[in-house]
Amino acid sequence: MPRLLDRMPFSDSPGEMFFRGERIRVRPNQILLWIHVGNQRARDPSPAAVPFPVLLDTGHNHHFSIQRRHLVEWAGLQPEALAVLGAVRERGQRHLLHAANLWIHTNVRGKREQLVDRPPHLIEARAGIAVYAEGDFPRRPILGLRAIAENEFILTVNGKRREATLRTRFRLW
Amino acid sequence: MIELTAEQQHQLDATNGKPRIVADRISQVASLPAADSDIPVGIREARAAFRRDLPRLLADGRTRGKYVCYHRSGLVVVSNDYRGIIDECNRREFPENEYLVEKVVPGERPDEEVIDGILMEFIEEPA
Repeated sequence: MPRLLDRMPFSDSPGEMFFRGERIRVRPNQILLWIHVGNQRARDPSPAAVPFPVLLDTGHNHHFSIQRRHLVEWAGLQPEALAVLGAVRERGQRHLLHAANLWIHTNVRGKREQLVDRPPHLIEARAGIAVYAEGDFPRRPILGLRAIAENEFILTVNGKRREATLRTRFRLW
Repeated sequence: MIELTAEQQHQLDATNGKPRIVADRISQVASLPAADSDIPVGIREARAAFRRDLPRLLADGRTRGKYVCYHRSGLVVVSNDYRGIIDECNRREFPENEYLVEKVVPGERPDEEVIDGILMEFIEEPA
């Protein structure tokens, strides 16, 4: 069963990393994963796509939320180029759901910022991804529980070891 | 008093005085959000058609649990394989704003839903 997160460590103390010249603060007790966003029509991952850090938030009840700036600057996609599939309301604000799929890049076991050299795995986001057109929320893109559930992934959090593992339900090879 | 045309009177007579039921069409139209929505008409039609068909699709062992593609108001592809259905949509060159891929599983498919964005982040201050 392919691991999509392989003993991804999460610390009890703050840290930081740099991505595309931007300093990213990682708060304590946050699970990070590496994802790139692709057009929903693409059946294969783009070899040119660069994965970016995303927070796993099981309290988030949709597939994926991202602010426009991150979609443009990190994912290299203009929301206008992605079909609108629907809308969500969150804290009274309306945000459009755009057609896109997500591709998760597996980390090297136990390493937060090193990725294994193999193609990323598809995360279906059939209902689309929420793009926040204005403001700075979410501070980091968020992968929500709906993505885990609808893709039938298995998430394990080992509190004692401070590691998270995400894997597919079935053996793929 | 409303005067009926000859055609309307003929239709009323044909149904023994009861008005014709056009509720099916009305309910379909009513389930679509306002026309000024920024969700493309093709997507809204596809979702409305999927919602309409979902009970039947769930009841049918040949479609339950599978992926379906609706192009506007018509079911056009059924597949076990998500990537296969994307291939088929690409092959048929459906415009991106006219089709919808769904999985035949129970659940609501509203055009607009309420979500919890969450991401509560705290920075502890020294005591």
